[in-house]
Amino acid sequence: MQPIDTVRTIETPEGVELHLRPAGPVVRLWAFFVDQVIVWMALMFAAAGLAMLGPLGMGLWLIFFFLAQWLYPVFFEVMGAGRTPGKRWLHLRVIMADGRPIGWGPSLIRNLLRVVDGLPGAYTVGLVSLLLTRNFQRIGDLAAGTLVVHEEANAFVPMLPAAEPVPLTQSLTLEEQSAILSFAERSQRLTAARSEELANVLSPLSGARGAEGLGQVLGIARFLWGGR
Amino acid sequence: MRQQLFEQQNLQLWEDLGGWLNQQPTLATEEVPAAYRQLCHHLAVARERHYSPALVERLQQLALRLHQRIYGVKGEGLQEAFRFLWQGFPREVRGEWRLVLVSGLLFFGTWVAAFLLVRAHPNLVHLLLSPEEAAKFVQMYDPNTPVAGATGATRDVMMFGFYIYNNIGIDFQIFASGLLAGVGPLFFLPFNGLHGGVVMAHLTNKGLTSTFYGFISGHSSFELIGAVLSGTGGLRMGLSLMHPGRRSRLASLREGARKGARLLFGAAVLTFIAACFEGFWSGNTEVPWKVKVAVGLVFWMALILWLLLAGRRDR
Repeated sequence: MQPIDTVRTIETPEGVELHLRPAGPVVRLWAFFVDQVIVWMALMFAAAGLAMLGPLGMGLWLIFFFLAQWLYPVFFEVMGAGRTPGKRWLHLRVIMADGRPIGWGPSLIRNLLRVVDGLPGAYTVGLVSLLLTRNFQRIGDLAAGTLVVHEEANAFVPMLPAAEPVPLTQSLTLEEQSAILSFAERSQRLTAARSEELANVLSPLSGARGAEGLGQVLGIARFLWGGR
Repeated sequence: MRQQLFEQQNLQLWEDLGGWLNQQPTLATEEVPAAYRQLCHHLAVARERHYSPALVERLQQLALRLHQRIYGVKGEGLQEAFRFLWQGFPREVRGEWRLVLVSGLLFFGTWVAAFLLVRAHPNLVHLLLSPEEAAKFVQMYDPNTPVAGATGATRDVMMFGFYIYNNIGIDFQIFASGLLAGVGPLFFLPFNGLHGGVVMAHLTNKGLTSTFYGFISGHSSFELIGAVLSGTGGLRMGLSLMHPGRRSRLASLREGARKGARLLFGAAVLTFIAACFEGFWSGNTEVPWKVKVAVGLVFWMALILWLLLAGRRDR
């Protein structure tokens, strides 16, 4: 983990560290924008439908407007595991700062305090707070103890490409071994030419270049992974 | 240990845990904590031994999902919410009695003072209300004014919607602006009290007692106490920020916001009840106004008794 990354590390009671990746202002603004579009589309359709009911429709629309304005994010954050439709779209999620899922109370706090974050207009206070805090928290997040994080990508299980294990001839540090394993796992998503080009960097270790060099490097990875 | 052997030995456990997360009966719930601790151990070992990044990432994501599931609060059900409203909320209100007193005085104190002042000197009404506004209020409560436009149930629903949107929205705003060092409630509470007192005195001066008091009495208890308590919630939050005591400012703010939001939740429900009465009962012209005032007084008494007494036994 590089010091330059925005990663929040939480330590669980089991003594293991979990990493969260707080989301910055731009992506959150997009999510907000998507949510606003959804809300206003819904309100417009509702207005068109309810207009036929006269004053009755007007009353229902006002209730709908109230719910959309204040409680739409609360409802979706709690029922949708921390994701409003806009956040879902951009793969964001609201969670408590200690990694737990968000409940009704914190969600209500963080969303009502949009009033303060919105001061003096265009979410200025919220933006300044986002930029000044380590974990990109606006005032509502600070008061509620919540974070907006990038959602984990789906855990994919890349298989190491099959290769004849090649025993190591030099000693490598753990980081170097890890880098070779990482390369081998990624190599299936690269073109053959690009893989070979990258494997060429390791030619002092593998003693070969091109396709043969790649085979050697994958073999080393296989050896690191499973031994002979 | 080589990574392959490590994976081989433990894959079953990881898959079982993953299956349990996806609602499959791979593990009994009692077995999950032990398996989860095992997984945490595996994650630490995998990191320490620099196994391949994909494996570490996979274990860390599984651990994160389990962490959220295991330590997540069990969702507060509807029953829980009603229980809180019925017993917990009055307790919270009594727990904050000093701030309730402050916001109550700010609101009702200004209200009564303004009322008495304008009763004694009717012309003072124009300090707050322009002549047009004053005339509009008089016209609103004039029994001879025909009700414009729609009447009956549809109009009631329209007004009900408006009261929800407007009054609960105001509650939310008073609460949120409390974060600014309590300035929001310190301004809104006296201002609304002043406005209410002046209008009430003005209409009393004009002799519109029957329509005005008949209208407001039914819902006034819920609405005014709701406004005061949302102000209390905002003050709680602002005070926690300004005066953290021994805690860090952030921890204090979090605690204050949590308490304040609980007060606000109850206050919003009260305001919702007020909107129901205001929409469907207060405007009713068939019930004699004295009956409506009597009902309103009963509501005031019941509400105050409830806030003072409910939830004392069951702790």
